[in-house]
Order: sequence, then structure tokens, then C-alpha cells
Amino acid sequence: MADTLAFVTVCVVYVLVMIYLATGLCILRRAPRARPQPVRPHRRGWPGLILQVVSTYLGGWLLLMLVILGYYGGLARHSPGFVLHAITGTLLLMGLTLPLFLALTWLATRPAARRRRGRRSPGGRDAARP
Amino acid sequence: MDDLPQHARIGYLVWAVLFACLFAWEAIGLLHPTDSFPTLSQTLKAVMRYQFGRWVLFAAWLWFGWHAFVQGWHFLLRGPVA
Repeated sequence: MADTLAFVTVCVVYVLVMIYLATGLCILRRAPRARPQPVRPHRRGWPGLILQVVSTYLGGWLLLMLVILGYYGGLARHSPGFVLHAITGTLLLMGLTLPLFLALTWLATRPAARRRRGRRSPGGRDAARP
Repeated sequence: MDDLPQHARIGYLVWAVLFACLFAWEAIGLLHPTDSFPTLSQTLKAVMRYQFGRWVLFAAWLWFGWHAFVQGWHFLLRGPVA
């Protein structure tokens, strides 16, 4: 039973990845040069970036938890410890990476770095903003 | 390290071939920058234009990162202390 479940899981994950990539190809064919859609288009700069990153973190985490609770908790009936570790472990990973990402973004886009980049490429001043 | 299961070499070979195919296709896409050969990053960027696409990719990254680095981790990714 466990072998069948594992095989079905791999097949389902494969199909989902292919659907995801096929969606990307369809979008790429329909609008090759379109820009990403921000969460709040009127918010720019740091507030816009933080809102975008935090909403991606929360949305992605909630989606993953939905899958983990639905599959491992409901269908496959894994031990509750595994589900609990998945929740705390992913939160730990997010807690480690979010400040690191924001710090690196600040380092790359701080005024001194922007000035340096602006000197190297004319007109690149605005492009360096987050 | 002693309690690692012994796998047949063919198992590793199949993984190597699969990754080789992936990298070869990516290289073809990079060498021919037209819409006919989209790279993986171009495809992912297209899906990431939308909020839901970003959520799915972040969830996949989180799942992989948790499995690879957090589950059963040791400080600074070192092996278990003897």
C-alpha cells in the first residue's frame, strides 16, 4: 500500500510540475515581454518590495501547509511529529532567509551602490531601485 | 555514514542521465535565445508574473530547502559528531 502511495505521489508531483511549466510556456507565448504583476501596483520602493516579499512568503507557506496537512496529515497519515516538524522547520527557514534577503537587497540598492552603478551605466540609476 | 543504504550504481547513473538531459536542454535554450527553445528560467519567470505562480514556486523552494537543510540538520551543515 505504501509503495503504491509513493508511486502515485511521484506521478501526481510530476503532472503538477509539468502543468506549471506548460502554463509558463503558454504565458511566454501569449505575452513574451510582459512584466510581473505587483501585489499593490501603486506602492513603490521599500514598502512595495516588503509587501511583495511578505505576501509571497505567507502565500507560499500557507499553500505548502495546505498540501502537507492535506496529504501527509489526511491521506498518507504520517506521524504528527513529521507534520509538526514541517511547520516549524519551514518557519525557521523563512525566518533565516527573510532578513538575509532584505539585508542583501539593501546592500545592493543603497545610495552608494546605486551611485557606483549609475557611473558605470548611464540611465541605470532608476533601474537599481527595489 | 555506515548506516547509508547501498544502492546499485545504475540508480545513480539514471539520475546523472536525467540531470544531464535537463542541463543539455538548458544549454540549447541559452545558445538559441529565441522563443523556440525557452530556458527553464524564462519559463519560471513567465509563471512568476502572477502572484499564485510565485506562491507555488516559493512553496516548492521551501519544501526542498526544508528537506535539504533543516530536516535532521547539524550546525553549519556539518555531519553528526562521532
